[in-house]
Amino acid sequence: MGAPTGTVTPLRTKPWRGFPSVNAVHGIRAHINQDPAKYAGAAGGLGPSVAGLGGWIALAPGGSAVHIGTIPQGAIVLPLSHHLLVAFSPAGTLNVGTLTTPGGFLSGLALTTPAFTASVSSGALMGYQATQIEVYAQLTGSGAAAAGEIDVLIPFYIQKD
Amino acid sequence: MGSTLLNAPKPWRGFPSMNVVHGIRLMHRVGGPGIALPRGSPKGKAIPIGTIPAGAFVRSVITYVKTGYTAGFTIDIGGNPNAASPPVFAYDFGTGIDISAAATLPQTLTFGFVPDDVEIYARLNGAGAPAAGEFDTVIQFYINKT
Repeated sequence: MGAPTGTVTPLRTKPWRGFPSVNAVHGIRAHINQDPAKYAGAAGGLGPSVAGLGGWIALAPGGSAVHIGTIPQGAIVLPLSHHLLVAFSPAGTLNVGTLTTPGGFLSGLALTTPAFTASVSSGALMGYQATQIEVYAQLTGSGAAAAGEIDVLIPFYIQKD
Repeated sequence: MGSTLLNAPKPWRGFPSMNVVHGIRLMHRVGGPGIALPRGSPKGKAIPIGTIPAGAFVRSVITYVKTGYTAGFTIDIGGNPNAASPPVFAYDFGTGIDISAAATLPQTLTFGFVPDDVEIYARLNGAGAPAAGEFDTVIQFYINKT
């Protein structure tokens, strides 16, 4: 039996989940939270939903890249959005991309000033992708994680209509 | 399919585990189909248009005005109104959006992540009865955390 519904399991590969023939924008999202107490005991969102408040992962500063999702072959990656809720301590930057192109979606994003930023399209992995993309997030820096929270959404479209 | 419930609370409806961007659409037509928005001045009555579950990530809010309304007409879109008169929204998706002329109007958001269940309302602001007017607003959001 797998993890309970709504649980985010950060240390395994996240398969592609979607409807191959639906005319909808798909997406991959990572909610990174360095404070394990922040949402402890918080109720989930409205059902049916696995959004909840407990669904997040933590990243070790300077640690390994963590798999956050899979984009299928042939997709077109659309401009992404991110929302820095809490500045990171120790200070570091965030890379989101693949293992071979770690900053392919977000490269060296500063994590110091809370803000919502939309329509980020500067990454090398934007647009059409001829191969399946395994997406990873990695935090630079060093020391023990003390604070920080950011939400990143990478939308993409797969149907060729 | 495709019918709009007038003035009824709109529950959250979606697929919980799909890697997909969800959306809520507000469609208004003067004298036509869509949701009923009673106009008022300076502020109309806030009408529920949908619900976003706690923990979601709001990607964008865009209003498309196909046919302009009478000059001075605006709309406000927001979530979780308080008890003030007129109510103030805890989550502002757009205030005073000018719908007097045909336009595409992306809103500048100050948040993406929402830590609360957000009941979204819209209100139509303006005096007099517009002879024509058509607009649609689409709110895009994502709920899964991979």
